[in-house]
Amino acid sequence: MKALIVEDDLTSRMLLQELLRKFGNSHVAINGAEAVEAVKIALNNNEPYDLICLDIMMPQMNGQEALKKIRAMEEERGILSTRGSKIIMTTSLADLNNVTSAYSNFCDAYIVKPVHGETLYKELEKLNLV
Amino acid sequence: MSENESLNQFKGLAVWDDKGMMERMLGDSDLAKLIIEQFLIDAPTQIDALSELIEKGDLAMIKQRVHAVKGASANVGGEAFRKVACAVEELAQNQDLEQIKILYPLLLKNFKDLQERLNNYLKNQN
Repeated sequence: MKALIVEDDLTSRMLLQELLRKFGNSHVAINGAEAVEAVKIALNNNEPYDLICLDIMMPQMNGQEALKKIRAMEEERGILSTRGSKIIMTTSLADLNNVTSAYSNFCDAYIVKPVHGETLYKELEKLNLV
Repeated sequence: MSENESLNQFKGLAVWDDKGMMERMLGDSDLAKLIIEQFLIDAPTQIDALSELIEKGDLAMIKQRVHAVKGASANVGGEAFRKVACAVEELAQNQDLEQIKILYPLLLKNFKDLQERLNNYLKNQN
């Protein structure tokens, strides 16, 4: 599984990396702008990410904005969101606005931090990634 | 809210929810140790940066910084610290620097308590 972890906090990034390690090594980005760039390169190389774990509140570009841009890049290449990368929002923002906005912009799942290993693995199963 | 009211709402919270942390990490004590070690390296820098931002009164950056350190503390089960960090984040959102300054000593105390508990845990592991 090719995964991208987008997270500005080092501890949270490391936790996700370790939980996902058994499925392969993950790439990391520390803000939305880096994530968009990483996804663009992956799409241009025809090696898209299977999974993107995307935090919301990050400097430079937040996760909601990155989500929109990632789905737009996929669409430009004729990839429907249902066939694109599986995007799990991993955030401590649990308010209805953020949840609704993320699903409106075609995230696939929403996990509220702190991330529980079992919750993450269940979502990966539901998304047919493992 | 008076200073006492402001501080009283945070009484009785667990400094460290070790059980919750281990559950989230699926009982993997090596993973827990790794995450704790990383937290103990990274969080003090974040706290120092936060102190400077509070001194400067930069509310936008306070919000961002405290949000990050709140997430990090949640990973290690630092409940008492996380709750105060959460309140500071909300106060930054509401542009209330005065209340942030009231809560900040408690945030620091909770951080030091958490540091101590985590350091003791690591010592006992070695």
